[in-house]
Amino acid sequence: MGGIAVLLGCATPPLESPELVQAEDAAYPRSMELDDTPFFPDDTYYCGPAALATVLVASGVGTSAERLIDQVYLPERQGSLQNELLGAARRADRVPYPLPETLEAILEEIAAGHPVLVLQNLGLEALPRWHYAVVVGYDLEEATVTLRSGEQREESLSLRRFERTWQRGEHWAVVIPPPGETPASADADSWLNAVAELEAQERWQAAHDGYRAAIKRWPDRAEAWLGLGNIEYHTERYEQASQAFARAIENDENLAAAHHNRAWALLAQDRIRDALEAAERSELIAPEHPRYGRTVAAIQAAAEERTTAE
Amino acid sequence: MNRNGLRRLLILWIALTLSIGGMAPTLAVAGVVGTGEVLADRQAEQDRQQIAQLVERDEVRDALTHYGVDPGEAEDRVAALSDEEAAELAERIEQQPAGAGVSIGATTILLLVIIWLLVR
Repeated sequence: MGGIAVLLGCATPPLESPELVQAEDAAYPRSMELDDTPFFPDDTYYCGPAALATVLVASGVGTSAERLIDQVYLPERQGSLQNELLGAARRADRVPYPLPETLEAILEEIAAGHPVLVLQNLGLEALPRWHYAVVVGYDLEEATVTLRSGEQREESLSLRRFERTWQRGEHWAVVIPPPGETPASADADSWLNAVAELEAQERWQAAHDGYRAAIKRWPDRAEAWLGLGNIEYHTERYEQASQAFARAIENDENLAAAHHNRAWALLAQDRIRDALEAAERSELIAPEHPRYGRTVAAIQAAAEERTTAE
Repeated sequence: MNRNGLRRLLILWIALTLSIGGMAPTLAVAGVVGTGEVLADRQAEQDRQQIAQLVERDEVRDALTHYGVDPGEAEDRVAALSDEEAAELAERIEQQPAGAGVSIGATTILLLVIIWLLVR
């Protein structure tokens, strides 16, 4: 019985780092160091605000660890929650992007110039000691990573040791790219979802930059154009909005929402007949969504009101 | 009443009127479909979900104030979370890792004291 328990206790998942050190044909260089990344030393419980400030300032936000304490620190818990770090990044008008759970994604981001915010467990699984730090460099020849961590500006850890602490930290890693850039390891869907959250919170400028960056990288993605159109619509640039929705339709003519939203943009430009046509198309494509039908009815009502007024 | 409170009331009102279904659609109520809704294709269920999410966000806000965050600030902090993030915190904020400093934590000190008491 005791033997089994010990075996279970020792069974740790395999590490990715040995393979990465061996791999010769990777798309990123063998070593990289983002020397310009700022540093906010911390010797208390503020590693959350400190690490977040590091990546935010690196992405061009004017802030500091001290200013972020009120936004992310939990006094009674003496620490910060992961989700709240994401929220605070949005409040700074940036798009936080959680990375896929691979060490390789972290290296790719560093190589692309994006420092990576990570959660480490420096204690044991049973007695965790959670800690936020920022990976700013790696060296595959030496098998090390460099972190801005606690009071150390350049903490050098063996890749292996780092991977263990990060593995015990639930593989949590986040990048916050500067406006107009996408994370190197991003896929279109995850990035668009991350940007859509800023749209939902009415952070128009950040969402606009995020969709623009998506279009630059994935110009064929209809939802990226739809997103851009939505931001133009909400900032009352109706002509640009209807153009963006038209681009969405060019890339996916069956995207009902693009027809529907184009209807609203046209309506705002007083093009009631075109608007009605666009709305009817959305209803035709997706009759199961009652919202499109309601829009058709609303625009029809507006058209009739117009006729009686004339 | 602050902006979030007002928005919450408005969303509730819209959700209720839409679910009753008796209201004639007006231009004021409708508008463009959000990109997030399209990506998740969750429009059909949205109205019902919105009501549940309001409750979850209240729970998270209360938990944050419980942990010592100023109530007004807690409101802003919750507003910056996505629905999924808020739901996750509402469900298990106690178990979530709270990353702290590299200094020795209270638990470690307590453990050392216990060990010392045991072995002395």
